[in-house]
Amino acid sequence: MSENDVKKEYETVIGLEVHVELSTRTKIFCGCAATFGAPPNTLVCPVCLGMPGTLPVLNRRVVELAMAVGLALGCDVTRTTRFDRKNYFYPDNPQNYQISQLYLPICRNGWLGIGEGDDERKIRIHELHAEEDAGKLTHDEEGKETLVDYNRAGVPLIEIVTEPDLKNAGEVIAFLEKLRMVIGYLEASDCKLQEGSMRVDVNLSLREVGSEQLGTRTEMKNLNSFRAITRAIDAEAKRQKELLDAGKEILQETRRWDDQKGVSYSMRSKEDAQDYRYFPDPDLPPVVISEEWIQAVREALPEMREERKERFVREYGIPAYDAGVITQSVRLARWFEQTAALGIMPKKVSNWIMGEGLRLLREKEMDPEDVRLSPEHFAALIRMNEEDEITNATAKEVFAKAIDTDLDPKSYVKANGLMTMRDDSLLRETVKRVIAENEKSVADYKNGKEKALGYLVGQTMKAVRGQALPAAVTAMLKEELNA
Amino acid sequence: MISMETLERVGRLAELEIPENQREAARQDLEKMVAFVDVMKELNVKDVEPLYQVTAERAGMQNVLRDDVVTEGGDREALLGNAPKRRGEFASVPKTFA
Amino acid sequence: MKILDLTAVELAERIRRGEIDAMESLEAVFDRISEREEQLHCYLVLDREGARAKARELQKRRSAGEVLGPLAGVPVAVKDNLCTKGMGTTCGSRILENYIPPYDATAVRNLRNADAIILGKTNLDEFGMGNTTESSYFGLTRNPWNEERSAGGSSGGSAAAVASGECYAAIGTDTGGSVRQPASHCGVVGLKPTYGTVSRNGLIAYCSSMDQAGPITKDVRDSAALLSVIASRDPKDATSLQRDDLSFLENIPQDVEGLRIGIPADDSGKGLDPEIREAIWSVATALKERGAVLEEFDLGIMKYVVPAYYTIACGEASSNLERYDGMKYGLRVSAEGLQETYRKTRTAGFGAEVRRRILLGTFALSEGYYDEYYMTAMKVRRLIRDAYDKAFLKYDVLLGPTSPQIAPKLGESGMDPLASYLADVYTVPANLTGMPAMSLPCAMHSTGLPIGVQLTAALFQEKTLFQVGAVWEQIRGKRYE
Repeated sequence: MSENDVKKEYETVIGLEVHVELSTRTKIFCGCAATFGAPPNTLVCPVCLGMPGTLPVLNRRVVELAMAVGLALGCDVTRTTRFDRKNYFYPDNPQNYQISQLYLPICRNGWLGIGEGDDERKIRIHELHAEEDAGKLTHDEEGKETLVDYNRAGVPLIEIVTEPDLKNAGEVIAFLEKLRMVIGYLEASDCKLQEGSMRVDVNLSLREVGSEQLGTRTEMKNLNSFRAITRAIDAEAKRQKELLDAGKEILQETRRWDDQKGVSYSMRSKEDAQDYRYFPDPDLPPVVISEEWIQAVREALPEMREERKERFVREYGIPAYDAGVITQSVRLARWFEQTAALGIMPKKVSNWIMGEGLRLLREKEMDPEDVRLSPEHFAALIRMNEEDEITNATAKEVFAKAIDTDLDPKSYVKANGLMTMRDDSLLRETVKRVIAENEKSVADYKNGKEKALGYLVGQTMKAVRGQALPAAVTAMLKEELNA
Repeated sequence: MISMETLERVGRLAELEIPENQREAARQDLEKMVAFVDVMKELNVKDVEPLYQVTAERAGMQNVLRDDVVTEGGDREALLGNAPKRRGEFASVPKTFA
Repeated sequence: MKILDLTAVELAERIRRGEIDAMESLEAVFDRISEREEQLHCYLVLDREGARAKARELQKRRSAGEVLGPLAGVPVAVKDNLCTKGMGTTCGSRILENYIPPYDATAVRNLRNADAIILGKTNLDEFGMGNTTESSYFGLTRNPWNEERSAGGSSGGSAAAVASGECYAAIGTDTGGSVRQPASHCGVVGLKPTYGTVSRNGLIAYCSSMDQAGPITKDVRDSAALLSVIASRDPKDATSLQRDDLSFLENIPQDVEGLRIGIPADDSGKGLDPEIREAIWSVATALKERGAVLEEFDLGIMKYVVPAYYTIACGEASSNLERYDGMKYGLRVSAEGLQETYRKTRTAGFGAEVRRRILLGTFALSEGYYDEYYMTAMKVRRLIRDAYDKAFLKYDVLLGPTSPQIAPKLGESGMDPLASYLADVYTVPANLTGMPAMSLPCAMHSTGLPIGVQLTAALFQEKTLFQVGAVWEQIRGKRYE
């Protein structure tokens, strides 16, 4: 009598809206500087404050960067592109409309591949458009007021909208990392989630396996790290599945992710759905993009990752794996190349970068952009190590200090007395002393215990504060012991 | 033809208050104006391109763009001086949510 | 000749030559203001001290041997929707009652650079929305010819100031006829240039795709002189044009031999005062006697111009006026919470006509209605422009009335807003199409109020307007005072 109670199988369907702050010198529609971190309300003018009588004028560099990113993502450039007003009242929006693009976005129909080789999946990009950023609101906890800083109002953004081609959090992260890399190569933005120069909104729905029909989707905001994105996706997929299994409906809504609590909250109910009344901005004539202009931008595109990786293998003879790792970031790739150009063996440079380099970046929570060690100083350090002027251990120590400060390794080593001990007689004295002070170990060694030698080496190294080459110490000990 | 619901929605979008006792009059007003402009529907505009801007094209002004050079910035007092409420370096507005 | 009877060009010439002291003409204007301003109320702000300081400075520079600018010492009034740095700019609205712009509109800066003396800011319909200057929050402006009558609008203050001698010339703004119609009602010359000729930087926006600042002057030559000064390609306005033909005072033909004049048949039918119709025809006939070729024709689209205009203007205005929200400048009405503050501020700050147009505009842009209203109006706009383009293949200039009626009695127009919208029928086409148009005084109505004739030319053809205007002035004989 009971009905066949088989639970339905669902697959997750995800689309992304990614906002990226472009690294132009000035804002999109006025000549104010677009830098981060200035004192509040100092990078403002009548235009970006929306004062009466002011008019927007489009920054050429924004058009070029938007085209460059679009072309790198395989998009078609829209030959006549235009800006539209998106009308809504909010205090971070001085005109109470945002100048954006709806009807004729600058780029359309591209893709970005995730995964390698046969596993590569093309994630389709629906469109890419330019728009202006809003100011920053800070909430005053005590009073009933909100404080507004308009420095960020008018900073140029590009918004990249994907088709709902992503299937899970892993793919989303892979996509975002690849996107960051492409945009990083173009030096169009530093794409830092934590600083807000890259912002991700996730649109998620569940679809019955085998069905063509998409489910109701929700939009998730306030995802400030890759971790938050992953957790939010997993939580939302679970939340929606539970609702569907219980026979309930999914509400189309925007939800805000709280990473502390690990849950999302509904932000806006869709009854009062925002009607943005988009219409072409009468103050901005359309931008007509010629074939010549597109060609010029295409030709000015820097060597992108795939090409660079292959070239590194060819020109520098480093393994494909190394080239792959180093070219993840255009800054690392450049660092590698500039250092190798100073006569250092490429494999040595790539080893340093892949080993100590990446480890330190992780540990110090640095981005490749934050590396300060110049190619000259990097090369000097490697050379000193090669020529045994400093031990490996010392080299690593100096590298760790220099990576974010670019200190001169030669002066640093000298100032701190870190040169490898050269004076053989002093070393020999120390070796003799260690032998004298460690009768038991000497005896053990003489009785065939190789490990005891290691102990003596350790003691000697300690005595010279690491400033000797372990190989030299070992050799000398053996000499003395066998004498 | 223009419902009260439409009037109220339009008022909300425009952030204007229409007092209860003025609503019917406002609704009729809007209805009259909409009826007035409805006459445009007599024309066949199916294949007509909208004319958003009247001179740029005819004057050969395309791609009016600005160089990416800093030219403005920051007389905070002059610019924020008109703000109804300030808190030091910031403009102060009623509390927002989210 | 009485000093106040001089035109702006005549005055500037004499000041530059040292024949007249800039302070003398300035004080004559102040005397006239003392006589009439209390009744007329042309000005919202009068900057006597600033004006005197500028006059003194000009005299000093002249004595030092400097050559002064083309409008040296000319006392000019500026409509109060053009920003003047450090001087209050209200748009005739409570919502900007205490607003002081931190910058000059480009047109204003151009006037200053030409050594004109900015006397102050003139009254207007709130935010430029109206045609009688009765919707100003700060009180109405009266017609100098008959103080029971409106000076027209929305640049009523500017037109009345020129007509009464309270300035030598003025700048107004024209979105649907707001320079031409008050000029017509006050018996002076009003010009709306080709859209994009005068920068809109600092012109507080009503309808962005139509707004243009234009001169209101005693005669055609002054109109050309003022336009040459205020026009400029401005990097701060992406819709402003590079025009190399701005020296309007030179090379203008002195006759109308062979000029083809088109007279649109008045298919809006009823509503045109017969005396006005007669006055227009006498202008046409006089020009014909001077060698012009006349032809009546049917534009075919007059019925749609006012609906298209209001849909577009209100649509763009509803967006342009969103920024007045009590947060960054202007009036703020204290209330509980953000949304209440927006609503109370805007409802208290905007007058009834402005609120009416915002509602219509918001409706026209809203979801479900955008295609049917705003988009349709933009398409109709192209049909209207096509009709005018076609006309200008056959004619060099179009001639007709500026307004179907003479200046209305004060207090009468608020009754039926739609009826007053219809009065814009002759002027709005030039705004919809961007074409230049000028209103000139042509006759006196039996009620003692001026009648204006409107000339419309093809895009960029202001020189045809000056040509015909100058010939008509010659025919008419004397200037009004």
